[in-house]
Amino acid sequence: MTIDDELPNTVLDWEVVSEDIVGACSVTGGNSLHCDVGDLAPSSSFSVRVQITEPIALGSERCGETLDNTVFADADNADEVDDDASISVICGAIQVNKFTKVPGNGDQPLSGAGFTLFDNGNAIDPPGEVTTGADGIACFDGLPVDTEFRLSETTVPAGYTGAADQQVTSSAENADCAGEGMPTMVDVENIPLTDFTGTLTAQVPGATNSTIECVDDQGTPIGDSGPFADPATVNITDLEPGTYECTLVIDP
Amino acid sequence: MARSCRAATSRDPLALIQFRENVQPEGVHGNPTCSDVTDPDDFLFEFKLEPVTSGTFPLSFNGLTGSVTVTVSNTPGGQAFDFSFRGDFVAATVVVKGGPDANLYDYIAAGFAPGASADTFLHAPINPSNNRFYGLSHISFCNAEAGAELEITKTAVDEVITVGDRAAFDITVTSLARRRRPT
Repeated sequence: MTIDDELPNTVLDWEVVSEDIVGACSVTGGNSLHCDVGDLAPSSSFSVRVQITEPIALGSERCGETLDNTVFADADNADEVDDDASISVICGAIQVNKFTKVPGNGDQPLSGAGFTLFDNGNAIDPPGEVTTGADGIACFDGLPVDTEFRLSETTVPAGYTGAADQQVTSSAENADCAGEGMPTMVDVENIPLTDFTGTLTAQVPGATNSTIECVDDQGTPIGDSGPFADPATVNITDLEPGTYECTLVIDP
Repeated sequence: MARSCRAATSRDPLALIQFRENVQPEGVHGNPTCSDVTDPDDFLFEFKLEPVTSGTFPLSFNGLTGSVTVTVSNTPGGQAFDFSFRGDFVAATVVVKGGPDANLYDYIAAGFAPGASADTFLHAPINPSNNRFYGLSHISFCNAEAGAELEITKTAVDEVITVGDRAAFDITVTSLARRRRPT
């Protein structure tokens, strides 16, 4: 009795992992299974398990495919019989939607932000860092489904705050960045930053000394000009939108 | 050569009222051998039982082995017999000789290739003088290798896999019991 199976997809290599008769089966050319079982006694069986030599890789082209084919068994004194089976390869996706608020114009896509997924501290590569385009989208696909990752903004566009890391779970169903299925959607907002510079300068040099002290809306100091001086200058960077108060003291 | 000695027609007395519950015998003239009535591709060898007695008889051919058990009985219609094979053989055809002619039980023609492993109530042609079966003169079993029936199942170890998983199939082929008597 013989078994022949052109296992699916030549991109995948297959191997025999178990067989009832050691050496009866072999795989040639990566995917052609042939078993020569010899005489199979009545009411007896022969089993073989085959599997791909390497796991489905990140970003695999097999994502979304169905591995489907037919196996045949034949014997000199029996009719050929066949059976088929299929395996669906599904992969998850995560889509990051990056935006920022623009005064008078609401949320707008933000390009140039780079995001990286991490799993137990290790960057998921491929695809590595993915940068938002003009549409503000950075998309990851070819991921294991329903798996939690840490999403980190690893490149922050100049003039904006970086978003805090967050845990994100990939889609539970097959999805990709080309429109197949529904990736997990993650909205990430970047906040525009403002720099402040203030200076007190005596009209008659040295006639007055001054200080400037600034606090946020909670009264927390955010910057000052230091000891009384002429001129007195304060430089505060990366101010997020909000209300701040600066106290100016001119002496005498 | 196969079946060249068949002479029975619908008008031939040999073909009359010789029905069985399954395969209908066909009357053949004279004393045919297996080669006379069976395609050489359909049988391996002839086992001739003469005189006809009940018993189990060993069979062998080119490394194949088996046996045939014959059980003769006297019925209201006359002598008849059952047979049953074990091992590697089945009967492609059976020639039952009695009187001047013979009955041919052709399991190939009946659609049971490569043959039958058992059957019942086989008999010689009917003696028109008393409407009873002729006594059993001899039986020729035209033996073929028993056919196997395979059953195959292929199943996915996991029907859905994702990144990091390995696709795997289990394939199992079972050789079912040898073909049984025609039903």
